[in-house]
Amino acid sequence: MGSRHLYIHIPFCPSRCRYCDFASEAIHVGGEYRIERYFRMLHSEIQGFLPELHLPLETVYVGGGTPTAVRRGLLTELLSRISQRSGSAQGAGRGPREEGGALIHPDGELTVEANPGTVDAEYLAELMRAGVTRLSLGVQSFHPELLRSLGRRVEINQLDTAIGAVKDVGWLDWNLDLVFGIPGQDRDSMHRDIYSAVQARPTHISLYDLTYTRGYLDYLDQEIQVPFRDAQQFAEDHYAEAADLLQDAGYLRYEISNFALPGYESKHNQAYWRGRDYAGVGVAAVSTLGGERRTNPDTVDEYLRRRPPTLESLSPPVRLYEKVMLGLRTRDGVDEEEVASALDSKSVEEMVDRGLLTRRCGTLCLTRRGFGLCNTVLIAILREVEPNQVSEHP
Amino acid sequence: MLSFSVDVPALGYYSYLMSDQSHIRNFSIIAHIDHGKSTLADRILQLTDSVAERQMRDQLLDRMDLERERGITIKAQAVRAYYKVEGEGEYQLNLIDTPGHVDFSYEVSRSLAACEGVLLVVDASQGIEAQTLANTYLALENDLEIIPVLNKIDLPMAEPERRAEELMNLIGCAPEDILHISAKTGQGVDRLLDGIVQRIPPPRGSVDDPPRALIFDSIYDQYRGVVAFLRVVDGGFKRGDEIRSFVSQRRSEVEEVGIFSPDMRSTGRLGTGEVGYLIAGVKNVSDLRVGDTLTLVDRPAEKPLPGYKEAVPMVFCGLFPIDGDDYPVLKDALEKLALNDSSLFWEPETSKALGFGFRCGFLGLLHMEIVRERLEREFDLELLATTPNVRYQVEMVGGEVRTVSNPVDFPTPGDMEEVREPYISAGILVPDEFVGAVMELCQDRRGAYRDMEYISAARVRLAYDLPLAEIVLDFFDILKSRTRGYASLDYEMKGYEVGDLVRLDILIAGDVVDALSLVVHRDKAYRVGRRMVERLRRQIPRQLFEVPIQAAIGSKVIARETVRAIRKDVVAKCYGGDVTRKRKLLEKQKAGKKRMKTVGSVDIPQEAFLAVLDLDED
Repeated sequence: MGSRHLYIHIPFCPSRCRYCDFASEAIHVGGEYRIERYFRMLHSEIQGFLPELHLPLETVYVGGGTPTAVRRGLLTELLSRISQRSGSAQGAGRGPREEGGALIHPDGELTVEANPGTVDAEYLAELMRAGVTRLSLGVQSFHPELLRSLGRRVEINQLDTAIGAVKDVGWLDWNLDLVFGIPGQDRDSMHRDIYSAVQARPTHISLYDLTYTRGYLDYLDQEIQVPFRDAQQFAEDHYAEAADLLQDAGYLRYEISNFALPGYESKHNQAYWRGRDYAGVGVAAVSTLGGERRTNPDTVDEYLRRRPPTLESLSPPVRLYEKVMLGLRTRDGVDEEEVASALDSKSVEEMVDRGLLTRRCGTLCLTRRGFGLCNTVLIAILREVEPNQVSEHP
Repeated sequence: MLSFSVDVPALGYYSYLMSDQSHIRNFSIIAHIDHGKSTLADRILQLTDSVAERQMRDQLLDRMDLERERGITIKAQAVRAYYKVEGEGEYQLNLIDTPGHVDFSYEVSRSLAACEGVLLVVDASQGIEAQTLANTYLALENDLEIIPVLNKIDLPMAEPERRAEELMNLIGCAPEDILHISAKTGQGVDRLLDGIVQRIPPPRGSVDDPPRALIFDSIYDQYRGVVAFLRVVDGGFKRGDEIRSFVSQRRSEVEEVGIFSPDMRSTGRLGTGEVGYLIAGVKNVSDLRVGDTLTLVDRPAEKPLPGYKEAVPMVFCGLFPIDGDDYPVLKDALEKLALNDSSLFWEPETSKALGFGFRCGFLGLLHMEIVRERLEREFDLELLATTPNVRYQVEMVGGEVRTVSNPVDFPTPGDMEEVREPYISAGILVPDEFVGAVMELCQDRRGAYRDMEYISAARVRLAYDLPLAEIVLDFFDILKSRTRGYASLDYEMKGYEVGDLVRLDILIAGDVVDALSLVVHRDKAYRVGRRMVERLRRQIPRQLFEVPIQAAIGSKVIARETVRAIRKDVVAKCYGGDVTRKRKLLEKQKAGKKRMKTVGSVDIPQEAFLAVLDLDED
């Protein structure tokens, strides 16, 4: 069997954004040596996973942190090994590749996350040569004040540079991340952010509500004294409108918060939502393989010290529960018959009556209104999993 | 409970000798919480060699964990010690431990009925507290000899002169009558023991008269049945005697009699003036009732001893198991608790909102809290308690008079002629700088000013009459916070008075939630109604539809808030590394919903039912 999908985590950033919810550390913490050690461990972890991978892989996703913030050679070397590309320059993202020896299929999707400020046209060309087919650019917002509210150290000209670079190298398949519900956001800035995003002509746009972590709340309260309740209310009131705007611009909502031009959905993420097995390497990375979930330690120190992953055994009922939980996030929904035993039929009917769920040829999926209330619907329709069916051991 | 398995060394040759009545001293210690009663009791036991030092546990007399935790005594207990006086032989000292909290004045009066004297212990740095005062009055009423004692004189903040003055004003004693001690260091305690022997009279009562004994407390032991704590007034009782109780009329045979030293020791007999215990194979507490008099079947006494008074519950609440399946467990638990707590009242009750439970009556708020904690702790129950309330007397149009102890049963205004509510006489002791704050609080609680007196240069006793209903929620806590902890409170029932009272109902999504109904004074209805709907609006989670919350008197809505419908959940990412976390979050949220009570189609968390108990004053 084995997994056809691999996630690689690069937990290093030039500096940490205040709202950050990911496992990452600032680069200066350990210096170059630390990062190199990290990459060596990554390589060996990937080697260790080979017996559990179904080669060639369909998708590889390199996320972070800021993968593009580390020394370029480190990243491109890793990517080359995965794609076995040898350096002949190519044009648009989906060019042919050398067969044999590569981890990833020639037509596979290789995504790398990039941040404005860490990429220019030259680097993007290098990444393309190294086999990257898809780019994910973390923009979040085009407004300086909103970026400041996020505690993100990016200048507007850096945004322009990055997007310009993407165009210069003729990159086709790329995603732009936007964040919603930023303190200080209003309808006007929301419209302009969406407009600017669409203008940049990515093939994919992600739109997430800002998650208010403890650290971020403290930052808002103590350091910049910016209130946030209005922003949360704003997000609640206007997300649907933003989603509509994106769809009007041609980006189809194929998942609650992910919008794409037809054909340019993230194949890697779709694997998650369809309940496929996947392998993850690096700090905090998670693998789900053959009914077992493995979670790597969440700090670089622990990873370097080879602390073993936590294991969680996933019984069939739990897998089914997760299938519903993930599947309903997508436009395709879930096969009703397949997941029937995980659902409370009375509640399902209730949600259908309320116009939050709908049926389409044997699949159950959220309606447009239902997308906004996904959690509420899930809590209502999912039956509890018996405690003895879930087990964890360190 | 009293079968404490410490290896207590033999008391010596004297231990089982029947003490001559003239050499018996029965006394109690009256003291405010934390003024050192238990330490003093320990010290007395120690000095009389009653408990070997290495086996002594701090504060032996307070048995229950709860008691120990809160530093209070709940049940009266008795301990015997022997004290040898040069040239006079050995004296039998019976120390009867009394509860110190205002809720338990009934228990106090019962224990005092078994004594001839009391040690009035006052902390030399704190002075007299309201409860000490109240109990002192009780002692005076019972004609007991009072030995005033100033404790903690070793502390730097002690003000012996000032406190002595307070004491003299209180009981009219002379300065030389007051003993200065430190129970902690032991300083002065031997002189105290001499004082007990010299000043507290021996028990009156006739050895030859038909036997009579007062039951001043009892406990239920699961193996031995009811254990009655006795004070023998006339005659004596021994094993094998057939006894009869005056009130319950029950006859039984004495299986065992003995003393507490401090654990139970069988002695075979109890003589005139002695204090001890008796076991008679009785399984039902109401057959050996506290306050009852025991006598012999063969030589019955003519009249019972005075002292029988039914404990009257003052505060009520509904207790419901959160999990309906626990109902039989709760029932069983209440039965067991009531075995040892004759003042606990309980009867089944049904609530539309909360299901099957019990309406319980307590001597006061502390009693209620303790019972609740014991139920939850000892029987592993999760309980929901409704707002505490008092009992009303309602005269209906047409003449019928009803007693209402559940707000749900309170009639609508149109059906009532008159309502009467219980009142208390309260005494509040405060430093004079807080007099204004206290008066304001009492006024706010519909209090009527009665009196104010200086019990010492800067301490005042304020007397107010207040409706009990205004006390039962948070009066004491607010009193404490407004006086920076210095105030102390005592109260006693005064009787019923007419009040303009109405029932305030809370409606959620148009349905009356019976468990939230309250009886309030008409003038306060709007304020209370507003506070409740505002609190509930914050407590009730948003649903898929709008939820109106209303407070109403009869059909008239007087306050309203709305819980907005939820339109969108937060859109969070969910990738490979988020799956387990997200799943657990959903499960937790679902479990949280299950724990809520659904009223109509609205999910209400348990906290909402306690919403009105919030201490924040507007």
